[in-house]
Amino acid sequence: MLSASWACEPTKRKAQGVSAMEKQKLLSVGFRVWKKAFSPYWYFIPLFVVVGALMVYPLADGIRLSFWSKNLMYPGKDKFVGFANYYKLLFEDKLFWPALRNSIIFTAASVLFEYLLGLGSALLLNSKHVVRCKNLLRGIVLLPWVVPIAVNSLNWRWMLLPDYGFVNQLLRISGLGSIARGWLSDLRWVFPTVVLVNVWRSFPFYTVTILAGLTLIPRELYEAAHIDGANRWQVFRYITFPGIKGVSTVIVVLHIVWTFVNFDVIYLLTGGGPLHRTEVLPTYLYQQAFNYFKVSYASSIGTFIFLFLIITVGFYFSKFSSFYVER
Amino acid sequence: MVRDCYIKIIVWCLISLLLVFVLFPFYWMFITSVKDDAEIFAYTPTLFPRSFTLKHYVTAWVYGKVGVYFKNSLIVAGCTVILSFLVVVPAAFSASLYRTSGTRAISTFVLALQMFPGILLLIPLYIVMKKYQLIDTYLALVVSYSTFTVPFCLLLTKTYFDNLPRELYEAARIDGCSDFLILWKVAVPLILPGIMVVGLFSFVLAWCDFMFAKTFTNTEVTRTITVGLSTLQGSWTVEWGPLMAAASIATIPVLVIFSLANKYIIEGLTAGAVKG
Repeated sequence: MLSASWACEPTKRKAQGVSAMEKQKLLSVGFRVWKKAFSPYWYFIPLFVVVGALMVYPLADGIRLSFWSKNLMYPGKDKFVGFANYYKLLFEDKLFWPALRNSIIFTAASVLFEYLLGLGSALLLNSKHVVRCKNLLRGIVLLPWVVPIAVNSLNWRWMLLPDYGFVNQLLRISGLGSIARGWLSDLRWVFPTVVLVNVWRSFPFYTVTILAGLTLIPRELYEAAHIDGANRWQVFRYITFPGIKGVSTVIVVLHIVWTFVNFDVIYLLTGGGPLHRTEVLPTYLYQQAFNYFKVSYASSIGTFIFLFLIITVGFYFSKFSSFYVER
Repeated sequence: MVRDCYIKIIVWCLISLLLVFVLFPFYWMFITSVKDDAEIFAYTPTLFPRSFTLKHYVTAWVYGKVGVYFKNSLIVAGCTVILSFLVVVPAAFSASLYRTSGTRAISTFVLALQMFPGILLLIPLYIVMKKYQLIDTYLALVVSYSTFTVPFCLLLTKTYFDNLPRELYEAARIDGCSDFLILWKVAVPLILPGIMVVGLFSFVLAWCDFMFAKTFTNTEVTRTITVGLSTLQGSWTVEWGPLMAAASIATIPVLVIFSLANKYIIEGLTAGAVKG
């Protein structure tokens, strides 16, 4: 209401048969009106500058680069090559499809287990038996998520070391020495291990968000269900789960995006190795751009990631369009 | 009643399991950093350190140059917070004061940017930084960090402005305040506690970044602590004591911030997702 009364002054007046002085006055009124209508946007200028120069322009430039041939080692030899980078990427590159497959499996497995673990731990912390120290526990559980990934991956590399790592030592002591192996160098086990570390790092975010969603469910619903004689599963199925569905959608979509583009976890744990076994698109992009300096080829990978994300997220939103209605 | 008691025991058992799962890597990091070398590489691991030494911390801080990296990280993260506020506070205020379709569209757009992956910006930003010779400067890091702190801060700061009663703005307007005075004299002092929390959290975000720092720094002069950890790992392949000491040092600021403002940060963090 208020904004309308500030922004809109009478703008339309008779412009016919006015003297020069009145014309001048009208002009200045026009300027003031224009200034007022624009005034909210003055405050956006720093934001426009930052978002434009640091996000919109680089994105456009990255897409442009993917149609060019540019190598940082040979400056000044840029030339337009059309879709050549994409052709090479999709039909000739032997590492691209495995990397894409790894990315998809990594994302799907991580998000699935993170959600299950997050949901379980949120239900646990929401139990009436822990009301008193809920805030403390919530803070402790969030720890893996807030500590730098560089620290976490260093910890896990230390614990997963073949000889002196705690995991293998524990296995040996408990008589399971045959399972002990180099968890980050064994070709078969490295992928599940990386997923495990990623789940360990990311599930706390699900826990705190789902917990926040759980506390918003009105108590009366549970009381009513209790009176009606609903069992635990029914309570979960018809009251708890619908109550956290909105939150779940948001965090799952966010994490699909965040996991798919996650560079740090895999780069710091395995660097994409051994033998490209854990190579995902972000590490592959980094390798092409900053080890081989093929920046335009790497940009075509980036553009591919971007399109892939837009399609995935767009599909998700169009399918669950109730998400928008709820908002 | 007896059944309730059983459930209580089960719940607490599960919670203890959860806590062990979550906390053990940190516990192990810390006790490794205070054990002496013989104990670190003992064949049977000791859960409670028999020896206590701070020598690894000295090694990491002085020989590993963790001190320099720590200082760099502090400077970069601090400047990122300041830059983000300069950008975000006016915009969030205006979006909250003038709720027109234009401002609403802008804030939705910026919120969508929160999902925007940094790896897509990496190459173009690198080319720009190289062109203007910004590689290995604090500025490069501060500027690139603002790409992920700004959308996040805007969301939270706008929520705080939105929660202020509008009568307050109206009263100030009637008393003849301009927009800027309303922002500076009325709104900002009231949401200052909220802003502090946002600042602390974006400090943590900037502290944790690895990708941009790895790409935009080549020398020790501007290297941040996260990159420092990974390069030390390359040069100290077997010296796990100092490495764990360095990792503990990198964790300290995050721990301090979270023990100070844990409750508020979590509330701010979840507000976005719960509201959608």
